[in-house]
Amino acid sequence: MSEKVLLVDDEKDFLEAMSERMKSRDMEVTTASSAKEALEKIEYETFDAIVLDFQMPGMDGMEALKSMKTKQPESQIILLTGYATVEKTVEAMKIGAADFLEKPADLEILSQKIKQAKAEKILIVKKQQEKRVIDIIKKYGA
Amino acid sequence: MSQIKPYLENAGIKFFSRVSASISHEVKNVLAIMNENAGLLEDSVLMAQRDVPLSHARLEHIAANLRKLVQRADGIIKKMNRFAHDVDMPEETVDLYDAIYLMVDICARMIESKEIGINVIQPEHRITINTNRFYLQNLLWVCTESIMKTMNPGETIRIEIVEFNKGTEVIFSFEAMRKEGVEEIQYGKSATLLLSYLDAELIDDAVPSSIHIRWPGKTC
Repeated sequence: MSEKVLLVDDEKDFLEAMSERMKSRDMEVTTASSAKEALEKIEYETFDAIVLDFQMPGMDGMEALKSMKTKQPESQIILLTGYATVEKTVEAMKIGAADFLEKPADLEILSQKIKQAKAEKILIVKKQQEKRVIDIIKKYGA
Repeated sequence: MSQIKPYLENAGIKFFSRVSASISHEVKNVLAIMNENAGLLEDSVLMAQRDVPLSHARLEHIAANLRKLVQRADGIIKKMNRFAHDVDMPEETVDLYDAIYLMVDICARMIESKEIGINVIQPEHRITINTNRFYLQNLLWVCTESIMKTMNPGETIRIEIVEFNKGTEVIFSFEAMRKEGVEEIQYGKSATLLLSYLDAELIDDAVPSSIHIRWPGKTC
């Protein structure tokens, strides 16, 4: 089954080339050119992974990451950045980033990270479902 | 003057570092797009090896993209080079429009990140002053950044240069200018020392929605 990815970057040429390459690797790709647009998209759609540019005009990567994790705590966000400082990386991981990759990124490495993110998300969703079932059993008795 | 020099130099290094970091991000972005276009070429070769015919139109499109990206990178490096040479002379004749235009260009990423527009009005004729080009750029950025902090995304600062009998002025105006931005320039250490070092004064009461940086009698 192909991975469903939301690719977020303010560089339209980057979105065009990267999404074409991801699609040719059987990924289902949706693009957003701002954090605001990405937040609107995750309002009514879920993705196996969100690949997010860390520095964009308007809402910066850290703010966007926080908002995405608030809206969809189970979302797996991979940050793409020009330069990642150790402090920023640690801060982003604490907020809930799944992974980090420096630009220019190697698509094969990014693809692996997307696959890992999808597997992680499946686990989280499965655990959430199990918890819901346990809660129902507790509520109504076995 | 000797007491303010170390502070100015330190502030200058910080300004230079911020601009360098910002520009290196611009370069990284261009490299990232080039990298994906190179990847598209590799993918085309792989497909050709699997007997999928190469599309000439597609190759031309990628080549055009790469050429556009090389031009973009060249523009970024040129402006970085111009900025790097700002420190060459302690004092020189500076075209104020050029100086403002370069400041906006080298700080473009920092300005865009706040989603603020800058409208630099070109004067009808060349207006120059004798000054230190680097610290002038620094002062222009301190003023712009201070005003930007009080603005909302989508708003625009207008910057113009005026020459009159009392001297020369760079005027920053913005319809909803708030006093916090003016106060940061008025009382902030960097702006105060830069104004003093560059023999300039801040006139903040000429028009409520504008601040004027004046060089009394300083025309060339």
